Amino acid sequence: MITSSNDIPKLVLHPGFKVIGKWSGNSYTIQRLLGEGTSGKVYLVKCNQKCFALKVGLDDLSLQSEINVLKKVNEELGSSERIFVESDDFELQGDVFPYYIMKYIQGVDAKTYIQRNGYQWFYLIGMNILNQLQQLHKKNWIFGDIKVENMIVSDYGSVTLIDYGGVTAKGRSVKQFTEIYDRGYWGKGNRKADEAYDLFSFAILCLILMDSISLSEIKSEQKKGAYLLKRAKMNPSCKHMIPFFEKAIYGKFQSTGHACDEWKKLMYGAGFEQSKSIILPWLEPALASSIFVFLLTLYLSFMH
Amino acid sequence: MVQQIIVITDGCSNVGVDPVTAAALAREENIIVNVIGVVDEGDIGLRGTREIEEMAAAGGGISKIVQSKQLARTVQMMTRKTVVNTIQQVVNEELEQIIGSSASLEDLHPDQRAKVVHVIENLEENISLRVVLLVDASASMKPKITAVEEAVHDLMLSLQAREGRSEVSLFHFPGSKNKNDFAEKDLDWSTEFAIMKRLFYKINMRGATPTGPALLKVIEYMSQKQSINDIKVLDKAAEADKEGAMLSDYIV
Repeated sequence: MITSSNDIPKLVLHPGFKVIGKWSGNSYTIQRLLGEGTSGKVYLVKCNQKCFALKVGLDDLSLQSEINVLKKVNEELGSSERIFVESDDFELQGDVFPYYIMKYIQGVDAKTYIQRNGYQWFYLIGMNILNQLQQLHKKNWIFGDIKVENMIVSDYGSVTLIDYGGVTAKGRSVKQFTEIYDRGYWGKGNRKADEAYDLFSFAILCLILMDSISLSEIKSEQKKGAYLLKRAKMNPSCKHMIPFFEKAIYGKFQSTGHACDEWKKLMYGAGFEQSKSIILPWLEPALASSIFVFLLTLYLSFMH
Repeated sequence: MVQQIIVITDGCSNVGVDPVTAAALAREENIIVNVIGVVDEGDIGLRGTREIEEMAAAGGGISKIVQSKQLARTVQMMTRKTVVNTIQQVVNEELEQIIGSSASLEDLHPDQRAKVVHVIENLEENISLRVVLLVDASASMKPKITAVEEAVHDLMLSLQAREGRSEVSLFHFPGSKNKNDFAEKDLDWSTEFAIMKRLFYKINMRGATPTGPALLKVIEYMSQKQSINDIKVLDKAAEADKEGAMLSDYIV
């Protein structure tokens, strides 16, 4: 029987609800909803006073396929880096819902992080993302669905990739992607999982992080690589990274390793250009208000 | 092999056999029928909505009413669902044989489930797939035709990346050359978008929307083409053998 995704009952779990594993018997108490995406919902849960993240999928098959990838990735990581904890099912009103438990990572998305802490963090965050991708690529996986929402930035710009639903074995067709980050959408290649696919999406991510392109303004006639580069060149903060973007957008990098090298070369070469002009978002309003107070004082003193 | 027809329309049929009957026939021929209603302004009407839903139900597929900007995504989603569901059905039947009554993925221990899903994914990537897009080319579709072309292009892009053999064909209805032609082929089985003729010029100003007869024509095409293509593949294999023989002769 085929059902469209609209027919799947909307599962809502309220704070305090105990999710009890059908197979393991482990119990997790729902604290609050952390996020909701196309593939499911993520809740903050507690087990023995420890916080975890719990993901319930909309589709059993894709959730299990994500779990399979997470488990394999876990095997490659050191115990402190592992994000997958366990998977199980719980029953609610006669229905069975598969879920999995991840490490809870505190942080914000990269866009928010840069907005809060300044553009100079962009270079480090970019490098961290590239390093994460390189690790995955070495194991013959492609992340696939790179986007702002799919990574968490924690203190000092450390990056954790969180949605593994798009992770695809090299050579296969990319499992899950988001149009604007997809090189096929921009007419810059196919949807076969290779390192260049992720690097293209990474370039788009950078342009979005640096406010060079925005999701809402792109029209179909602009769907060209040249448009992306033009936008990058117009942005003073992106300017010296142009050689990187050019190679990433036109698929010229031989490997992610080369991309990492290029990123570092440009980053150090520019001496973090942006860090010279430290951005203090409160400065402008502060200046404006002090001028206002000054004028007000002048006005009042002349009135007397 | 997974076979699928995606009907893209913005209204109700008004000529010939009931499209619901035609869709049921497709199901019998192992072809899934999915239906997309494209509406940018106004709505498709109660009768139109009903027809779309019933067509998909009879054809074992799904129906969705979307705006033209969501078309490419919807075509992708439907194709993927059709493939996954077909495979899942087969796998579930196999599971039932092994474990017994009404087994499903959820009844399996997570470790076993992981293995089954791994198998499903391999099949999903490798099973051969054929998609016919059947596009309504009545006058009201004119502003949406560019979106349809983009959707075809986008689908091909995704299918090209698969490891399994994937082919797309394109028809519009009613035919624009011959008055009595219910559907006209714009693209024969192909993996290349470039060959496609511009749909835009195929818009028909006559009022007829023969969805049912058009569907019948496509079903016939799909079941016929299958055998012809198989022969072609065999021929090619034979030719390759010959070439191989020649090549080895040359080397000797």
